Amino acid sequence: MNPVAAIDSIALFAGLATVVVIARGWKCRLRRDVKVLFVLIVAMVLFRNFSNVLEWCGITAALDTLEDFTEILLPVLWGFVLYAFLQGMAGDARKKLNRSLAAKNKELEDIVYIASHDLRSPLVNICGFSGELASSCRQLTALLDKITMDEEDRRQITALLKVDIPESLHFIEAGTESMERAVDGLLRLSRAGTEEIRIEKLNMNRLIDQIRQSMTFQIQKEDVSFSADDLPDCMGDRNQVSQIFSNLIDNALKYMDPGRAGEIGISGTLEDDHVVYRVHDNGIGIAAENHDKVFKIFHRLHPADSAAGEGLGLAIVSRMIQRHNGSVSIESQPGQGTTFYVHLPRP
Amino acid sequence: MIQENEVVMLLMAIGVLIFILVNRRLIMRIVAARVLVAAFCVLLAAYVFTILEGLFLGDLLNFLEHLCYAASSVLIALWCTKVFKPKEAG
Repeated sequence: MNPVAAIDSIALFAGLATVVVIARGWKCRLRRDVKVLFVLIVAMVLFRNFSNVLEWCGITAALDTLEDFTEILLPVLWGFVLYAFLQGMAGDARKKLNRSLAAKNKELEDIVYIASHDLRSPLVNICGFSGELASSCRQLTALLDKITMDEEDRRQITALLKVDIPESLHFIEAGTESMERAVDGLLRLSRAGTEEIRIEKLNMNRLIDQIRQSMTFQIQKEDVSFSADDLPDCMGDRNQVSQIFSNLIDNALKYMDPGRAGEIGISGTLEDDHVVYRVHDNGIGIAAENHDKVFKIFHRLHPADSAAGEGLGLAIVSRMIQRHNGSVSIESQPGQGTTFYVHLPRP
Repeated sequence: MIQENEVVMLLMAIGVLIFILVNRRLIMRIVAARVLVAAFCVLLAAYVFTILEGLFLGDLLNFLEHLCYAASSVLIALWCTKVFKPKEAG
């Protein structure tokens, strides 16, 4: 037998064996496009081997044109199958990364929720027992007046009961209040990311009016003029959107410029697939280098200002807007006020 | 004698080889990638022999060409046995 014919026969046998292997393992985990492309490659190889064997049997002319065609197609198919493999791997890696990120995010939110929830009990105890201690000090002071003792001892005990202990208690109370605000903020932040939201069409004119009414006291106290244009509707969760604008207005009220009459204005416009609301104030403004930082958790631009809160308000705003597939940006200059741009889906 | 279609298929195969070389790190993550790449390289060698046999050593290079085709077929069969496994088996 001609050695080339023998080799071609082996190749034909290998091709046929490949067909059997593919048929038996068709339900393997391989991507469907890779499978189909590879089957085409195997078909081409098989055809080539088959035509070689036919050539030795003297049957060639009928298959010559087809053979030329398959020879040119074969490298193209190889290119496609390898490209499909890479695409599949990239897609799988992306899916894996997304799953991993979602799991980590959920884990972090759970940790924040559990930690802040569990911190509340000891805080309540500290607050309660501080009050008890203050009450006991007052009782002791009253009892002290009825007891006869050395004047120097009385003076020292009175100083402890009326000055030192109340001062320490005051620091404890101030600390626990601050911690309580932080824990409450963390809980709100955690809930902002996890609580179920119900997306509906929102009448923003009505919603902003309700917010204005609920904040009338603060607005009047700061002597701020509040105005809202005719606002377009948007799609969102009523509670969260209300919280977003309450936090932004509250933030504007906190950072008014004491040197001029305060103004807060809200306007909105419809754009391609979303609505842009602008919350503008003429407050003290924010330097450009701090624009990104204001949405970070626990970040405070004015830490000395006790009225400024715990640095969670804008972090909560950002988190809630993200959950609405929206975005928030800031435009501000020191001394010229601040404008927050809130992008939410349009109806 | 050199045929045009043989040159075209060789050029295309060289294009795929460049693609493999450029993406070699990723390609090597494919299951039994060495077998798959070897199957392609042997096929590429067959294409080279196909062209060369028209210039010199016709019989020997024709034999090598067919040998390479056979080797490529066997390597493809081997790769398929490693990859085309039913879910419960793999």
